[in-house]
Amino acid sequence: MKKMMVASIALLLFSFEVVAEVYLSPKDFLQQTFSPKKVPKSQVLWLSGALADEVREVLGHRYKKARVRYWKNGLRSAWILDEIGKEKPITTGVVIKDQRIERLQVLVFRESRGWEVRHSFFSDQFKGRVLSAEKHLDQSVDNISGATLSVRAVSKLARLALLFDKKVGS
Amino acid sequence: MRDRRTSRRTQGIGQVAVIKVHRYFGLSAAFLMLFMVVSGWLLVHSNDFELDKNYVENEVVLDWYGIYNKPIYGYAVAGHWFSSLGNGVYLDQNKVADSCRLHGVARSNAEWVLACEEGLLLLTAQGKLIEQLLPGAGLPDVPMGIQTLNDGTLLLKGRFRVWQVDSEWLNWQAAPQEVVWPEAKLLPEALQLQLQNVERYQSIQWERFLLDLHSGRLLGGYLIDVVALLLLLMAISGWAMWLKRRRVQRQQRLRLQRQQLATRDQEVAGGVV
Repeated sequence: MKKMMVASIALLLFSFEVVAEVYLSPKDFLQQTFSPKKVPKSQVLWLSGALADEVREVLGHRYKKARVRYWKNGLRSAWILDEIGKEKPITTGVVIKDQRIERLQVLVFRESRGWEVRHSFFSDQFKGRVLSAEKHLDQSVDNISGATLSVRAVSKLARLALLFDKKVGS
Repeated sequence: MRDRRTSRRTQGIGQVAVIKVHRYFGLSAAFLMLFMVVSGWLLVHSNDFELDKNYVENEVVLDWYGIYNKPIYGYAVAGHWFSSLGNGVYLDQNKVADSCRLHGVARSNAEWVLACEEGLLLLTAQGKLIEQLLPGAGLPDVPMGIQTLNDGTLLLKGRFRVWQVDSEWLNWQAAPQEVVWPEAKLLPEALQLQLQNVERYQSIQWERFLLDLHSGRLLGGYLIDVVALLLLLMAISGWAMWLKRRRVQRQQRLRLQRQQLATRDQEVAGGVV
């Protein structure tokens, strides 16, 4: 009886386990950015040497991957990047056009708190932002109370995408 | 006369019951509110108390979460074992990436390639993450298996077809279908034991446990419902008590007024006489 109770509670808990929320799949993000049949072939950027140091300056730590994949068509480039908010990575897609953020979208959210960053009232703040010489956004982004770490992570990813775009654009 | 007495006695019993219900609901709600305040305060200061860095090791709590030691399956490649648990993907006993649904591991150009349903993970020989390829964003399909042929060609089993890729991981082409895909095997006992300990005792942070208690998630989300129900019943029983008291007070006031009138009438009558 006791075992059955524990098992049923475990079963109940299982349904409340925090799982990754996929708001937009990377595939759909790329198709929306470049149109379904015109997604360019991916290219890779290695994060080594001076770039690795610049990445560390932006994130405060090294990026967990040794290279990142990107999609570029003319002046537009799309980046799918991860950064941990508190415990789990937040996957974010960023589109850069002419070294300005054209679109930022949270694709996958895995944390238990701070999901408010997925809303457009937050992500729209990044539109048109450029990277300053100090590797910060040219205008600050409003915080969301209760989602400070997620806001910080997404802001870092926006800066990182602008930095990467600058590298592949030059 | 007897009916009125019986009715009054019933009303008295009813009133006592309402008071009792109100009292016990109040006590229960107060206890729950106290718990919410304390757990909320601890959550606000979770960084100060390092609740996000320490793990719950209490057996009852871990059992409650349903974290039991289960047999661990993985893939053996070039003398190393790869396995995926709730906490992450392990190269032998070292965590190399976040958890995924692992369907195979292959070695290519001194790199490890892990086929996860979520995407392909490319790792250095030491297990450092090089890149993650996601379906639709660098990957043509959802990985369901992986295999390196004797000539070094890497084949990826997708949902509907088999793929092969160039050395830069950029161009994917359809490949022949006749391939025997490696299956997951039970890990050696010593390694299993090591990973089971990591899985069980480094799964639930104190912050997560408190958050689940505070939000009521640990009780299936019903804690808030219980608090709300208690407060609602308290409001109803309180209102019933207030109504009853008001009625009694009004009756007493009327009785008093009647008595005063009667006394005055008597005085007036006495004066006339």
